[in-house]
Amino acid sequence: MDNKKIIVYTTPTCSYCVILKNYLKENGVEFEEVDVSKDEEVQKRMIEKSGQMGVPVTEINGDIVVGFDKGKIDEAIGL
Amino acid sequence: MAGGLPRKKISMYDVIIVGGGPAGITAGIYGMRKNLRTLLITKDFVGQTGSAGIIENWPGEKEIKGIELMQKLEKHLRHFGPEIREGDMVKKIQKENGAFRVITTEKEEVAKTIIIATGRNPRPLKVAGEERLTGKGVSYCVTCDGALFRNKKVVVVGGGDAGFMAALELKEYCEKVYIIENAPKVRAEEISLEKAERADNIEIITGAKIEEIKGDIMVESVVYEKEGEKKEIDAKGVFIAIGSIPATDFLNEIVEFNERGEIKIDPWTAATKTKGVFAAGDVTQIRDKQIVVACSEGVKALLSAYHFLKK
Repeated sequence: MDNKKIIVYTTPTCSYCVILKNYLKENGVEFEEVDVSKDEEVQKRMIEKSGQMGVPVTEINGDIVVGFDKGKIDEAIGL
Repeated sequence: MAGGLPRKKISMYDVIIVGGGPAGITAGIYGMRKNLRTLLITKDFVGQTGSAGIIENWPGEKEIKGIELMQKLEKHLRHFGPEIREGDMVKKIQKENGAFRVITTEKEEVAKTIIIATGRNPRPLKVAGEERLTGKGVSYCVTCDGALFRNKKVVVVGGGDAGFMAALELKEYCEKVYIIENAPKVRAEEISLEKAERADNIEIITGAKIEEIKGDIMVESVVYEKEGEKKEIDAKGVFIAIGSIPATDFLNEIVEFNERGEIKIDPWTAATKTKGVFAAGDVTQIRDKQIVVACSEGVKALLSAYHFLKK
């Protein structure tokens, strides 16, 4: 696993966000969390990048994974 | 097989549990305590419970977030060490030589008994635009997506308890919340109804039928018909809360269904019409769709499977 920049877009109540964050933590993956419910600009950016309005969204060096899709996340991060 | 090569050995499970909600997890815990070779197959450990906001009727916890409760249950299950296939989905269950072949997206497994505990999915509204705009403004889960609609106008479809609970959560941060109900009257609990009526940013529209959800890329508006007149609401979000349907797509003739599409079980044993196949929790016709009830139904199904295996 090389040093990839990982951003996780979340809201405070979303269940899959909790699961995703726990999964990354368990695997020792460092990430930056952004709460999109508090910042409309960031929210807009997430919607533009992912083409949809659900959370979580994970950005891995610019690649986007929507939802808690373990397979895609593993692949993108190299877990 | 030609050439006398060894046949691929298929290992048989005592029980395969389909579903990772409260019913399936509890069945799994009991399966391990009964020393059964247990496999649990689930898409994830979230489901209806994990998507619920605060739960106040789980004994031992005055209040707990749905997802926290699910994580505790999952941890408890993993502690006993059953085999777990997460992220997989069952496509078909076939009866075969006195056992059952379970075909999933990833592979096939064989078991002597089966417990179906797949719960329920949100009921779709079935209007134009709904499927195309799901995840793009159309949602079935306020806890999941509500916070993305801060300062925006949203529509909640459904004037039952679920719809009102959704609206009362959304009103805290949305500019305006419309509750649209097909029937002439809403059917929510008095206490929720009063709260909604007191809120100055909730509008309740009854006797209205949604005709279309519009939007090129994201939701832009909702068209409904009331008293023969078509109206359009400017809204960025549509939350559909018109109940749920049992998750039984993968099931064929091995079980029977009631008029609501729920699996028919014997209430004493959780047995379905096929010997060796049991079902538990919200996917069945059992009256009370409650977490605690689902757990106990899971136990009932597992113990019945155990007695069946020991016969």
